[in-house]
Amino acid sequence: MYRSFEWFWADDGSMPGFDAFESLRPREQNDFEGSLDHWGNVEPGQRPAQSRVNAEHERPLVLAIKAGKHRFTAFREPRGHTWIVFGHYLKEGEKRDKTGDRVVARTLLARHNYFKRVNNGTYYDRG
Amino acid sequence: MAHIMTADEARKRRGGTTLVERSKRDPVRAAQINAIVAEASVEQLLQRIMELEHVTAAELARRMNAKPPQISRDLHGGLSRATLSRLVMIAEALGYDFVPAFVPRTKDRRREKFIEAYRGLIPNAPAKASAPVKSRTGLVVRSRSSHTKSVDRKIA
Repeated sequence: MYRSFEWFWADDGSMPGFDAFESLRPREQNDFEGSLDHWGNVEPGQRPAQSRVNAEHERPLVLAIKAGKHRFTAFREPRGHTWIVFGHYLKEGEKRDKTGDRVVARTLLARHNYFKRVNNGTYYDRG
Repeated sequence: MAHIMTADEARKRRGGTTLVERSKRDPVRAAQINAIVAEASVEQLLQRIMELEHVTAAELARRMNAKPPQISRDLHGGLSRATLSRLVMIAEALGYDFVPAFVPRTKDRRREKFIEAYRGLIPNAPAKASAPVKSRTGLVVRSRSSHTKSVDRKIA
């Protein structure tokens, strides 16, 4: 594996991405895990299949991991090869709707929160 | 300055297995996930060949006498429903041969050689497509020289 993934863990102890994942049907969960398995094994420097991962926001980069109409937004940790999977939305049309925009905006906030907590030693260093 | 723990270090400390590893303990789920990975690898391989050959989706559509949205669908998950003849046509339009291959899962050196040779033909081919664990979609083998091209690597 060239990349690993983990769910974002919020201040209040919730994991919004994981909650969304658990609400998916088994086939959709397999679809999502297939995307993780594919992308995790894509060699650095190569692009993953467009049907599995796409860019949702540039600078900072937020990607969406796909499972049918489901999109799971993710950002990269500052050092290392782990992508933090934050939130979820449904993409019904050709373009991302307002709900999707809000999830991407929240992902950017979550990224800021993640970086701050990691630097403060309160994210991974918890008991 | 205090040491800041990374995700990898935290994971090692936690131990345990990953979600995909746990799901793959179920053979039915493992088969479904592996099929999705194989399809994604074929799509990625097609993207890679198009980059190597400097062929855009519009150009591929022109060569196949198809509409650009059809090619766009192929490149965004449509290949999972593609017929073998469709793959043959795509390969033909790219100047490649589509070679179906059922490769035994043995530890035979010839298997490794086969995979090495295939990877040699298409630089940076997706590992899982070139290691044909599942060969339902076969292989695409280059039949003419190509040049690499700088591509957008923001996702890479």
